[in-house]
Amino acid sequence: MDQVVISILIVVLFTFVVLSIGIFGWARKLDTSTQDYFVASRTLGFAALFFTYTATYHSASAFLGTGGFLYAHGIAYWAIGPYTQTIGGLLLYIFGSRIWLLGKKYNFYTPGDLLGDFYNSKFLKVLTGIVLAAFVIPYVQLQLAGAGWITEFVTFGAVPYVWGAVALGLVVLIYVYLGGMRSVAWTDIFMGVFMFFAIVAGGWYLTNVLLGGPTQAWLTIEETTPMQLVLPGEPGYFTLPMAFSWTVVITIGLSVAAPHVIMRMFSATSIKILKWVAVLSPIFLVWIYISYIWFGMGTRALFPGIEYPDEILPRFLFEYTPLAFAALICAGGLAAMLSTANSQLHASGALLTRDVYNTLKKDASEKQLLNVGRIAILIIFIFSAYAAIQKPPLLAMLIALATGGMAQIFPMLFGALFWPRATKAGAISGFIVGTIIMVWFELGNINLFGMMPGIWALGVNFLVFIIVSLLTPPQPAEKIRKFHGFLDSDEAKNMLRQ
Amino acid sequence: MSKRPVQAEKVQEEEDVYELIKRHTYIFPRTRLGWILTLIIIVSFLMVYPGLIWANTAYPFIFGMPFTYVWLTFWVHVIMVTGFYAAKKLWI
Repeated sequence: MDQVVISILIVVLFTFVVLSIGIFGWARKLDTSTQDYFVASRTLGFAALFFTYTATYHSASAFLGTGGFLYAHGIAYWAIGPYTQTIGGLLLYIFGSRIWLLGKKYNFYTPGDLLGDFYNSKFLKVLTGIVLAAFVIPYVQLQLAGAGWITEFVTFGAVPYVWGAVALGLVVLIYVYLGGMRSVAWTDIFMGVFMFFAIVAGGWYLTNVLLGGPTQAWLTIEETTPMQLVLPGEPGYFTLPMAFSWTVVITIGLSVAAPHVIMRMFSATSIKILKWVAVLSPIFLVWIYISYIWFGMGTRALFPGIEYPDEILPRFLFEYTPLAFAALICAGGLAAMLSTANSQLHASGALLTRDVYNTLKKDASEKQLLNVGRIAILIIFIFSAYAAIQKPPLLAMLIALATGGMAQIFPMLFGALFWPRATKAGAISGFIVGTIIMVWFELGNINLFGMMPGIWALGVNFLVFIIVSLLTPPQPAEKIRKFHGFLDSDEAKNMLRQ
Repeated sequence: MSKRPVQAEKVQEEEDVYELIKRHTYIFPRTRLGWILTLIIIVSFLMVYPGLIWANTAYPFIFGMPFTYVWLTFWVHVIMVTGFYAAKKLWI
């Protein structure tokens, strides 16, 4: 059979399976309520929650960007990636239990629900909803762009980039539009397992074929590109301060402040499940890259000067492994991208519906909210697909912008959960200042003292938040009792034991 | 209604708020085990940032792997194991 046909068949088969599972998830809905659509009626069990968290975490950058990163910057990746994933798991553990308790007690299911209630501010709720949804767009754009690239690559150009990005995006749109969180969770179970084995197998196979195994790979790297074994690597970008700032910002932005992660905290069926997802997820997230390290860094040693390092994994798969194997591993890459795009699309729909529309129109019916949620998902998809068609650079810029932007809700979230002295004025002023600095520094490419923009934005945000909170009157006692008092109450402790 | 009781009520409410803030501010661990595990995690993170200032070297190779890789892999697994232990033993 013709090689192109085999590749196309594998991509089509993968897409068909994902779409079928997505529709299966839709069919398993409990009812037509917004709670079921956005947080699966808080019934996600361990497998669904574990894979929807981990599969969403690893995106286009896992399959393509990590290869480019390892090729370009060497061991610096290992100083950032595993720490963001592991510390992120712990933050999920610490913040997640409190967020889950409040969600269960007061029926919250978006970050804006929780923040808007504690700070007693509709403005804050609408503002965080709009800003977070806006920062989701570059993230979805990146996934669709990655899907377009992979499809074009796998099909030897028979399916062009734009067709691949739009067609796979439409598949995601269909099942997210129909089934909401249930479809997202079901497809993520399949895609999470598939992507893990694909990336591990692809990296391992190529390490052995190209480099003669892990030990030989390290020796080759040592002989040819020894600078890649230490920070800052050969281009000299990842100095210690830069690596540190990446670690902090991505940890917070992707692990605890991202709207889709907070929605997953609300969706857990029990706190025990959430806790185990938090501590076991780093194993999945870190170990997926162990073989990729040898391949990514080893490729630089053997083939210096590759123009597009992001493409090394698919490129070498097709050059050095059987075609069906290569196409299958690349389908695993598509899984990484689609599993992130679906969660982000879904979360943005929830933000615009619950935090924006429902705040402005309090008396909206369930049916109206559901329709608005679906329309919001459609609108975010159109924006993201249009942006993806422009062929963005696949590297860190988009991730840095999106995660740095999402991280700006962290200080006020910290206040609502751990620091009752936090005030509305502190939260709003910190968030606005942080977001402005984030966009200004990112667009101006300002890396003050060799650190990425997000950390400056977050630092100033925190500072403004604390100072303004201390200078303004505290939240009413009733509000503190409702949140922090409840979290310390026997009722909460009993809920945790269930 | 006279002005005095209203003012007294307000003062009382303000005192209540600050008492509530004091009681429910929850930034540090509350048990000895919580402190120990938190310290292990913090020390493990410090071993990388800023620990890499001293550990940023490829040599010696350990079990055929460069020192930086072993150092980074070791500390991240210490954090993982500590988190796992916390999930077993601690509530929050």
